[in-house]
Amino acid sequence: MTADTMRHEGRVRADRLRATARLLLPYAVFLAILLLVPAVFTRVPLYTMGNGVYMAILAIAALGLVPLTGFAGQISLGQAAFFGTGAYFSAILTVKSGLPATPAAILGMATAGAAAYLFGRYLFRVSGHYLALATLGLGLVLTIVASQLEITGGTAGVVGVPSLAPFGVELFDDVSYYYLVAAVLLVAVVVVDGLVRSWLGRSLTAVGDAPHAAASSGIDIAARKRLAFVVAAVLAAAAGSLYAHWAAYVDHHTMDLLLSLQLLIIATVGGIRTVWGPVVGAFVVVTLLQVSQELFPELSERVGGQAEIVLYGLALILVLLFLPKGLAGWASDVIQRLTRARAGADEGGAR
Amino acid sequence: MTEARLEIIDLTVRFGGVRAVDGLSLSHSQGGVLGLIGPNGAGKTTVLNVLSGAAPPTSGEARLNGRRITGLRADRIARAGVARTFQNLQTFHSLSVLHNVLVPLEARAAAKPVVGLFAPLLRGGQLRQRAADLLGRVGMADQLDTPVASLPYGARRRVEVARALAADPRLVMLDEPLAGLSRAESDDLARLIRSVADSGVTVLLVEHDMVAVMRISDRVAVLEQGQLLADGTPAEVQADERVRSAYLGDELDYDPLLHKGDKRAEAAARQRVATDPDAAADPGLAADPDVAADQEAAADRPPQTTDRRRREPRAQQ
Ligand SMILES: Nc1ncnc2c1ncn2[C@@H]1O[C@H](COP(=O)(O)OP(=O)(O)O)[C@@H](O)[C@H]1O
Ligand SMILES: [Mg+2]
Repeated sequence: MTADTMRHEGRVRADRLRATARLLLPYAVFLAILLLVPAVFTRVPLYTMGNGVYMAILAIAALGLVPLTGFAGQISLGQAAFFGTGAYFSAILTVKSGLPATPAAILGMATAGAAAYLFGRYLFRVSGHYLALATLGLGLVLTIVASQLEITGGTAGVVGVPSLAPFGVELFDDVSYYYLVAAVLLVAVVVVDGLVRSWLGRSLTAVGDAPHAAASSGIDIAARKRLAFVVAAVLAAAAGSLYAHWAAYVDHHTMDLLLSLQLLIIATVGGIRTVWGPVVGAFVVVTLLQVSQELFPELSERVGGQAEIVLYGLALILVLLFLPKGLAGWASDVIQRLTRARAGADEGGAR
Repeated sequence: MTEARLEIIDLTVRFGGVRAVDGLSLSHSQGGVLGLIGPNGAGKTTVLNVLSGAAPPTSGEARLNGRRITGLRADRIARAGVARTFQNLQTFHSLSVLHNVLVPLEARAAAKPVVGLFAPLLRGGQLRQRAADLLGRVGMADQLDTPVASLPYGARRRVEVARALAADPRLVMLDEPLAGLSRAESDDLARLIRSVADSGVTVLLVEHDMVAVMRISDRVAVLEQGQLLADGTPAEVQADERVRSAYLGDELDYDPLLHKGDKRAEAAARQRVATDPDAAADPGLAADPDVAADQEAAADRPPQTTDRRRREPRAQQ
């Protein structure tokens, strides 16, 4: 009997260990990749270290779309407006008010979050596609406003945004800046993954899957959508702040509609129901950007310097047709199928 | 638990020119199963939608234990003790069986003040246990981790019922829970509905299966064109001339209420169902774009035939 109990306990412990491993393994792989990027990107022809920085920034901005669009089913076409809010706050407060970078960024994130909250209070009372249209309008209006106001520097924007110096280490090159954005990305992934795996993620899924059933289950669906919208806005603003210090200038193009679309494409191509989606998607989109600029410079000229849009569209169509869960969603399905097949084989062998 | 005291007072719901519910007044405070029957399009689902906060009434009101629930948000009504299932089956299709039932439990735990958002985290094990118990009650104990989308229709129905029972409601409203089930499944679920009522939860049962309704209801109300046509014990309603004619026109010889199994009566009933536009989609929710999308996803809705032998449990993708 004791042997039996011990064997049972041993099995329970092994199960728990396996579950933890399954949860942590993707993070270990992710961390390894993040650390490998500088070595690779500084050596291979297609990429520069700046691409690595840009990928991480885009991934942070797109991460918020996982709970918002992937889980709660709400489409935002205005993420660039929140990205721009973060970027302008960091630029203006550090350049014109002489504020240190961290409080400037935090103020930007808080403002974006508060704006999303207030906006959401009105928007989510009505169901349907209002969010997509309303955020589209918000983005367009803010772009115009930013190009007209004096405080935002008009069409010239704000230049001379200082580089960051966390703990007294000045990050003046792309490699050192990369480590900062990669660290922020890692934290953001952990936070969003924790959110969507928690009961809150479950209730967001319920809202996206069957809103009437969710409401009848006691969920305030407007409040849930609003929460996801605020999270997405804060993440986009954080990415915008990082962008401002990296690019050293901000203008109204920073919050262009194209960025909002790009973020949606990133999340969709990568997989909008997993935190790994925006990471994979950012890699794909920046790669396409590089490919279009390196390989088809003449095409770029003919379509007005934005040949990458053609490639984005193509990638989007291909993924939607063949891998509707996105690249990361598809990969996780494949891995799951493989592990299940192996578990089945193990069980068969034991018998 | 205190018995639910439901009062519907002069309730009217209009959709354009259609009066889906037309001055309906109905009170119920004796618990048990209140059957709500009536031909397709009579307004049964609309009544449920108003009572659950899914649709606003045009005029009139409804009260639960004296408290007005019309005009409240759906989640507030749920918190006041009203739960429901849907005619067009609305499970959370990307969640597992266990998580479907966990959702209302967590929502309720999170509604507590102070601890609020953290309550579902702190009480996770307890809530899971409760969800598992409920699923055991509907015979789903061995499929807790199965994705609900991969279940056959009948099993998803049972998950939906377990979800409705999760938050300890006083009033559970079931919209055609037996439709599309096999005979054995239907009998099991009918027995469960009865046991829920016997445990002190008031059940408002909308159902087309007359034999089942008459067997498990304590009281039956009949709706026709949004109005209360009759109301009484199953025996009284079955004997009511107006009810019989409403169901079968003038062909009183073939009464499905009394002669289940009569070929001609069933053929007539089928014909009536086949010509009813309600059989195509659930109009009670069709005006909402979110739900319209859900309905496309739920195209596996069962056929609304009154002939039980023609029903088969449908294997889902
Ligand atoms: N959202 C809606 N928009 C328009 N008409 C509706 C809507 N919901 C219900 N109706 C109409 O109201 C009437 C009652 O429908 P319903 O409550 O679904 O009946 P039942 O559930 O008894 O079959 C029907 O004529 C139906 O077409
Ligand atoms: Mg109905």
